[in-house]
Amino acid sequence: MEFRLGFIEIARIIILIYVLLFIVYPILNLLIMIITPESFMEFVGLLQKDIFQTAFWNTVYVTIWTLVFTLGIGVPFAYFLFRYKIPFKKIILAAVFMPTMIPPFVGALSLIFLFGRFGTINLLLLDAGLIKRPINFIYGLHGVILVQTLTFFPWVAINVYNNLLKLDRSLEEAAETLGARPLRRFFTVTLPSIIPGLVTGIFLVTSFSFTDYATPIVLGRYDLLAPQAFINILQAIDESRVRMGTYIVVFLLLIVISLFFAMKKYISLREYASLRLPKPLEEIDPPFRRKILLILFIYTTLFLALLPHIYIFIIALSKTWSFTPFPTEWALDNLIKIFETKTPIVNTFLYGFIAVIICFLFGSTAAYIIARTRHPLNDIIDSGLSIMFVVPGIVVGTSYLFAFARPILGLALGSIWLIMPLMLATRRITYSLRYSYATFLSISKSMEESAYVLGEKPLKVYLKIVLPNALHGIIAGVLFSLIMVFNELTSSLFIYKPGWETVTIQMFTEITVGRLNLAAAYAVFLFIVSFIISTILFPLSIKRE
Amino acid sequence: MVRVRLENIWMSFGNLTVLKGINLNISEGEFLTLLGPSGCGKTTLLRIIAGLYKPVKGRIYFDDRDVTDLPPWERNIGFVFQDYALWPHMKVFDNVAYGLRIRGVSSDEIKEKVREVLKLVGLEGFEDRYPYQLSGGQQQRVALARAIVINPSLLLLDEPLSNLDAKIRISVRTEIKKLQKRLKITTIYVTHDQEEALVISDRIAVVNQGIIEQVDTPWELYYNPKTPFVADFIGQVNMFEGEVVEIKDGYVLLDTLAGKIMAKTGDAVPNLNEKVLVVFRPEVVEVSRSPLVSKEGIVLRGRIDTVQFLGNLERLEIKVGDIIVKAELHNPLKVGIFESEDEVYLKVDPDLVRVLRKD
Repeated sequence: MEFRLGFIEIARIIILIYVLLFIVYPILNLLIMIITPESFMEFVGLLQKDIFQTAFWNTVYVTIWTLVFTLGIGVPFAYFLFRYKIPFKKIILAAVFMPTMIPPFVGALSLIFLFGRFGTINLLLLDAGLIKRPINFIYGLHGVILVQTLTFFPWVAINVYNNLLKLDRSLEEAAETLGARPLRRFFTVTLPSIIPGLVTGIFLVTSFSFTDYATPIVLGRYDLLAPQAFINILQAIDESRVRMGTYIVVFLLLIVISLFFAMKKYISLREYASLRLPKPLEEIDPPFRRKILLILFIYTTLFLALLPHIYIFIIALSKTWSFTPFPTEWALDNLIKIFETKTPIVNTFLYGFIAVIICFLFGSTAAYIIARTRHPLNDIIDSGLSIMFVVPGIVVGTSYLFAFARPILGLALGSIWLIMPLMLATRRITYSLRYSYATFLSISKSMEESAYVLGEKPLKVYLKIVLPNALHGIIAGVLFSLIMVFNELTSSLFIYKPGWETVTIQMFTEITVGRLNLAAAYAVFLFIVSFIISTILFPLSIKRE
Repeated sequence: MVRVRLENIWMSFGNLTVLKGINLNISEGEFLTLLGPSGCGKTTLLRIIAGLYKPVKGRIYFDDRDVTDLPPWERNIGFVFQDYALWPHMKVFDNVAYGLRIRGVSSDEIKEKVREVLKLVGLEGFEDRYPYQLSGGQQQRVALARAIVINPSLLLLDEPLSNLDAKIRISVRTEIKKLQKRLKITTIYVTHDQEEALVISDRIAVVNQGIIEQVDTPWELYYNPKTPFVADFIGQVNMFEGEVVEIKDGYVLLDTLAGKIMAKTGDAVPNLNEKVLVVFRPEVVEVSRSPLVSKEGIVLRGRIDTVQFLGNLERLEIKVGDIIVKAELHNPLKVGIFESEDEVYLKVDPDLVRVLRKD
């Protein structure tokens, strides 16, 4: 067959170059740094060091407990919400997304004011005479666990809930008719059916918790792996400590990637060819007393998850607040002040705007090519773009820091601000890819074919037939990416230079210098922006279904 | 084995009432089929009997025990779902053993019983397969095995053959019937396929728009339909309006658009001058090119409209007066092939014609 260079072929090659340059190269470059014999020995040496051992076991400790709590809350939350008639279900579903959009260290900031030594709770207890000295609720590993549980449990809940939507009600009914009571039915039939969603949730929480450095740092704990990597790379003076930090980052990457493949393998073994279309569930209206308990559980959990975000507002709006449970004076000063330094806000929007274009051009177009054509290169593009969902922020940041510090073809991208939106978009492109892909699959191929037979060429068909029909899905995906870009910190903190600050970077800086109220004001700003985008986003993503 | 008694069952979903006062008795060991078009409420009724739905009104009795408020897991029933609902994460053995484990049966006994029941449904040696490794027919039989292995007091089947292809459907339905007779389990079977219902059932309840139109043996349903819906739903039928012009000795003479027709009166004798429906099956119509003689002296004349030759039978549509009469000739060789526009004579044995009140 004659090879023709049309829209699809050209787009495929451009996207491939993008994937190789901005995904494959930085990560490979990072891996190569530890495979010289010398550095490998150093790497092995590091693994035996006391400081590494302590950090490793602390990290494992935090991750395991976070996992236990997120599962303990997330699974029942999803299950009850799915199974029973709960008032305002749709709003709850939308609200539970909020914590996943905000960086976890914002939660940490909030909880300092709430649970800190002289935070609201301690002061209330002291005032009431119930305690003599403040209780240490959060400074320590338990605090990290608390914050991470509140911020990460929605990942379990959302994944399990989505999986439950695919659950075939007849499978449960079959168990019921054979004599299985609800609890037995849940463990023998329901739970095994939602394993893919559950395992995905477990993977995400594990990966996030394992590689989160911002929360421990805000809570003053540096003896975990991710904070160690961070301070070694960014705050160390000598070369050997930077190398140590890099090794830890590579170690984190290897752990996360191994977990990812283990998860894929596990799920593929347990994902059974669906025998039929699922029979949808009829929601159960439980007896009054049980209903009250269920509602109490759902709403309390949601309240706790949103509490850090609610408290952020209180912190931001406080003017005078010292050694009292609540602010004694309120003002808009902090909120006004953040607009005085324009750079972070302008940068955030500028990077966001560029990132959206990149996500659309590369993510959505790649989705179309993968959905509609068969080609060996498609697999590389698909895996490359998808893996970004898995690679932790700290790894992306470090890999970009090293990969683009030196010139490529005479251009040192690392010293041009454009690297910021490029990295941000690439880190979050998977959302655009997946949303668009699902939308393209839902569009009947014959719509395009009927344009082809009338003589239209692929580019025109894509622009005139496909895009208009897929627009809501594409926009939903791109907006999702945008929210994530706005809230990104863990990677951007590694590569920013003075003048390139985003809102999250500025927020982190304010926390480290102790201006917590100002940090809270930035968080409020970010929260409002994310909320506005998500209120546009949600109807769009529902329309897709 | 139980007797099942349904008393005044009402069911609605939101504003939609799907069952309107169902009363039904099913005897011990009986094979009863709920037959009706899709959306008529038959599956809903079955699910109510299983306890998967709770009726808004009415009671359900197994023997004399009121089970209306019992959850499904306390009813000891076997239920075969339309799409089998086999658990994809369990092997055939575990699917079948599930109900036995719940009943605390020892593992040795479970092995024995599962082996037996799989042998019974012809799936010996399939214990270690996963459901997706089986064909549709095999899955169906696993579902059946899973339902009967617990020795249920009542077996419920919800369109169990609808996903199988025609040939397998016929063989599996014969197996189900044989199995039921052997195990003597009271069985309620849901289908929309009238042929399936006629073949498999002891009695059939025809369900339409939430009510039961008629409960009877297949034979009675076919030859003595009690309502126009039943007459029309089961098999092919000629049904048209006629006016009663004479009543005599258990017969009525009717004036129809096709001409005069005589019919036997059933339980309800119509009144003189009443407008009723005349009902007879196409295969009871005698068709001939030459004039026919009948003892009551009623012979119709018509013109062939369409001819369908199906090999073992010839299906005719004959224009008689202003209406079309359907006829089926079961021995085409004997009568020869008709051509459209042929002039023909028709007669129908009055004993095989029924009249139904219009409602």
